[in-house]
Order: sequence, then structure tokens, then C-alpha cells
Amino acid sequence: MNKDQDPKLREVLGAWQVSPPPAPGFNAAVWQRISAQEERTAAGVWATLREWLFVQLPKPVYASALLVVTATLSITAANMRADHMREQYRLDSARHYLASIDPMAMTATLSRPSR
Amino acid sequence: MKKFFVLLGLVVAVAVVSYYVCYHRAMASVVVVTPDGTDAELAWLKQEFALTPAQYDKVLALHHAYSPICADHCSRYMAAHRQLADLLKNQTSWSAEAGTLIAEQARIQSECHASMLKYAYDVAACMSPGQGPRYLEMIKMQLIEGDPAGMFAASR
Repeated sequence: MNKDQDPKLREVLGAWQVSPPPAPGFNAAVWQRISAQEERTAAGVWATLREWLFVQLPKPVYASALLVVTATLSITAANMRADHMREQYRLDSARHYLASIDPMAMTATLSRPSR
Repeated sequence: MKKFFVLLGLVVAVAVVSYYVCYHRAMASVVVVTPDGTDAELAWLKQEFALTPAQYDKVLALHHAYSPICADHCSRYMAAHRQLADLLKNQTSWSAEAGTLIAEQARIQSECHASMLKYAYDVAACMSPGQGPRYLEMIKMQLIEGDPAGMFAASR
């Protein structure tokens, strides 16, 4: 309900006063508590991270899992790169072979350095 | 903390060693060298089109017989090309000589293509039934498009 439409409500709200008045420094204290809580949260995240990295991670179960993941990623990356290099090698070799049998390609290759 | 750094070292070592070993094993088949260290492109041909030793010997003989013909075409084409370039450098209007040189260049080019295609059909005839058409496809792509990249891109 809109208070502007009810004159009685408007009258009551206009006469309303906060009792008792807020303690002196109430706002500052609230902000201090918020800031202290934020600092505690940040420190907590760092402490959890340290605990994980330096205490939990070196435990055999996590360490071996990490090593397996590392090896898997490395092997995948090596295979992907090797696939790419093999394809490039095939194309380069085909061009090289064709240059050795195609006089036009041979001419283009020979005339390139003189440019 | 010491355990963490030991683990970090192990992770780096495992990553490097597994990458290196796997990459070199995968690439081992790529390093193709002929017994006498020459004709590397033919060694590739042997691998790419799965030539048997007997097929390879025939292809090698055809290649060695064709090489001087190809070199001759190449030098004749280059000479004609140079002649035309020199003429066009100093010429400001059309001359019959330019027309003759262009026709000569085109004639040598068609001769080159014809002898290359004949060589290619001879080579393809030495290959297995499944490989010959693939080889000819590569040659035709070179003749028509000037590059075999399309063929290798399609097989990826």
C-alpha cells in the first residue's frame, strides 16, 4: 500500500521517532566489525591454500594423482605436437618431391634467391 | 614445505621427460634417410605410398632417368623466361618478338607438363593399386592448383 494514499499512515510515520537513540559511534563500530571480518576471511583463504599446498598435496595419494595428471597432459601435448609436425613434414616432403620433378616448381625455387 | 618443493621438482621432471620421450617416439618414423644419404624426397615417397623394395627400385630408376630431362626443361624454360624478361624491360610497345618468346615459353611449359605427367603415370604404374591413384591425385593437384596442400589437408 502506498503511504501517500493513506493520510492517517502518513501522519503516524511523520510523528514516529526512534527510541532509544543509537549508541555513540554505532556506525563506526559496525564498519569496523565488517572490515575485521573481511580480513579474517582473506587470511583464512590463504591459510587454507597454504595448508593444501604444503601439507595435503605432498601426501602420497594427492602427489601420485598430480604426477599421473602431469604425465597424461604432457603425453597428450607431445602427441598433438608430433601429429602437427608429421603433417607439416608430409606436406613439405611432397612439395620437395614435386619440386624435384616439376620443372615449373624447380624454376620458381631457383629464381627465388635471385629476387 | 620441503616436500612441496620435492613434489614440484618431480612434476617438472615428469612433464619434461614424458613430453620428450613421447614426442621423439612419435617422430621417429618421420626421420627418413636413404642408405646412401641422398634422394630424401624419394625416401619420403617410399614411406608415403608404402612402396615395396622392388617398387622402390623401379621408381628410383624412373626418377634417375627423368631427372636430366627435367633439368633440361628447367634450364630451357629459365632461359626463355629470362629472354622475355629482358625484352619486356626495354620495350614500350608490342613487338612480334615478344609474341614469339611468349609462345616459346608456353611451348616449353606444355612440354614440361607433358613429360612430367608421363613420368608420373609410369611411377604410378609401379605402385600398388591403392597407392597409384593417390599419387596421381597429388600430381594432378600440383599441375592444376600448383600445390599439393589440398590433398594433405583432406587426409588430416
